[in-house]
Amino acid sequence: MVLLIMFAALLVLLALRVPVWMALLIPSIAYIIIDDTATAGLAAQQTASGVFDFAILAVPMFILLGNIANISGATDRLFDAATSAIGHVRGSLGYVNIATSFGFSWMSGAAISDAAAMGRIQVPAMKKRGYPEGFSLGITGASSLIAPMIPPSIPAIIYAVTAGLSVSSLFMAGIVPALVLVVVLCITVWIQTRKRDDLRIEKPPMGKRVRDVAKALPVAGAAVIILGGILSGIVTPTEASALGVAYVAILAICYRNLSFKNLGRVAASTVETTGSVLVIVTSAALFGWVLAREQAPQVMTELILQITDRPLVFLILINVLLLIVGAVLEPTAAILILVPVLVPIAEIFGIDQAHFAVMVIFNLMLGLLTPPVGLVLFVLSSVTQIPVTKVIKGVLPFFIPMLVVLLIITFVPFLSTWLPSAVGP
Amino acid sequence: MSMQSPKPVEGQRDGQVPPLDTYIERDYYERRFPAYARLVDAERFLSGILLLAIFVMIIFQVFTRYVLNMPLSWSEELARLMVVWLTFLGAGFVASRNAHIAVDLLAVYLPKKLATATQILAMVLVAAGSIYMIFAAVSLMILTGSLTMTATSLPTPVLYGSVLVGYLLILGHTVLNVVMYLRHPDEIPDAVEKAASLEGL
Repeated sequence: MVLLIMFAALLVLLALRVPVWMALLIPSIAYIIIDDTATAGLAAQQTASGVFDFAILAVPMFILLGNIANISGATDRLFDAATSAIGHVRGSLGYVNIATSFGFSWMSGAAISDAAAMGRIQVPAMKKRGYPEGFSLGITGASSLIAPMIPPSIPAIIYAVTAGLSVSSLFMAGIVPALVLVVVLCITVWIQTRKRDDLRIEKPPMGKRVRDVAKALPVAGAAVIILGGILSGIVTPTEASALGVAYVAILAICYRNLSFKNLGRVAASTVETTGSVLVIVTSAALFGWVLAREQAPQVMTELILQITDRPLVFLILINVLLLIVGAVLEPTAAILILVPVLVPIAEIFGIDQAHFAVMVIFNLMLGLLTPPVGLVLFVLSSVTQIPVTKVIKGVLPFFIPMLVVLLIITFVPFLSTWLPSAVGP
Repeated sequence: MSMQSPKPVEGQRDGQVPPLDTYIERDYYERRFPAYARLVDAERFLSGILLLAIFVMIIFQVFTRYVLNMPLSWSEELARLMVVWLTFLGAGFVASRNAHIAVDLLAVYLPKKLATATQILAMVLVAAGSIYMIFAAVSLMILTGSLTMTATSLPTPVLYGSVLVGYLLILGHTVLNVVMYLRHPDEIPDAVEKAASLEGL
């Protein structure tokens, strides 16, 4: 009963447009006031300890990394390299779009920053080459979801901290599913451009192609540092994040794109994003404490077990639930609210933790592409100056391949579990 | 023929750096009260310094462990302490722009007057919650006043002070925003513009 009131209060507050962090805090505060054994100090203690965590440090560092990468000129180099290398293929800019996002994703942990960086370059370039506007927007939006699947991934860090898993193993778990996403998107581009023989670019001379690719190679250094550092066990993901920042900052200085003015803006933007994400982590910690005290996982498990005892049905139910939640709630917030409740149930159904995590994260990311609260849609609209309704129409057809990927991730756990177990300790 | 990627122009809306200008732009009270503007600047500046300090601290930790071969006991705790402060200072700054992540599901479909009323109610709730958190932080600081943190030996109130300072800032900014909604509705930044700038990165 208490749980029902807590969740109902949360929903009402969210509907009233109370910020997510405060919507989590108010029911928890009410609980503490009503409960005689809990003191006010507990609210302060739980919230602060929510982010008093070494793994959490990776969040501001990876946001900073993505922001510096954004201004470093790395995206332009990746784009030039991909265009030179595969520009002569039919529908090339579609593949270039996917390849550039894939390259950028090793430095960026959020779909939003990928969409901002790519929308600015890719959509005008594709329009200039005669690609339909909707298709250009759609593939840019869809490929931006590669970023949160490939390490570094902000949602994976938040998930790992919330569920008490290792950040490294969740990072590894996302890689193969991200490759599946890349392949499925390439197939989509192939299908959509197969009759458009005009959509290709003249092959540049070999010398230029080699030069362009070589120029982009230093960008791969960030991936080597982050992935190599974590895989080899030399550094923790948090330490890898700071080393990645150092590397990309040096790269940006070499590319002559990092001035003091730029650095100030990058820092300001990083602080804002960090503040708005991590403050939700603080109040979710308190909310989670109340849920645990009221035995929410047990209650929810009993409830779900009454509906079904088959893991596959459970996975389908969860996917439907997450698609709905993801459509209205920001992914990080959704992870913080749902993971403490869902993970224990998944465990009872015998579902692998890493597999479940990848599924939850990718599913919630789809919400970034759906109205009414699809942040990627708004970002694309804002950087391309194309009305959001047009963006929605362009992105909508890409939902079919994305759902295919979701189904593959859901029903082929091997894809998510293989890499962490192959390399993990 | 080679593809020319559009070369961005510094400072323009479609420049390389996403539109942070909306944030750096002064709101009504900052333009009117220079002291208040300096407070907001200080929040942003301190948060930026904390970000830099966290970065340096983590690099320093790797350095002492691998290069100097003498891992420090306190560097990790200090970095964790700083991220708590960064969180609450950052949250304070975001509150000054009334830009915390929220669900815009219903508000979009409401008539303008009702939407404004809802928005004010939401801010009043934020203020109320903040007052409780200030009270909670103070009582915890009194309770744990004599304790120290494990590795750094800093007094525990240094950690919980972040909650106090953060919610004091949030309370102050939110109250000002409520006043702005009531008395200077023309000065409220366009919601769409603000959303776009928040999600810019």
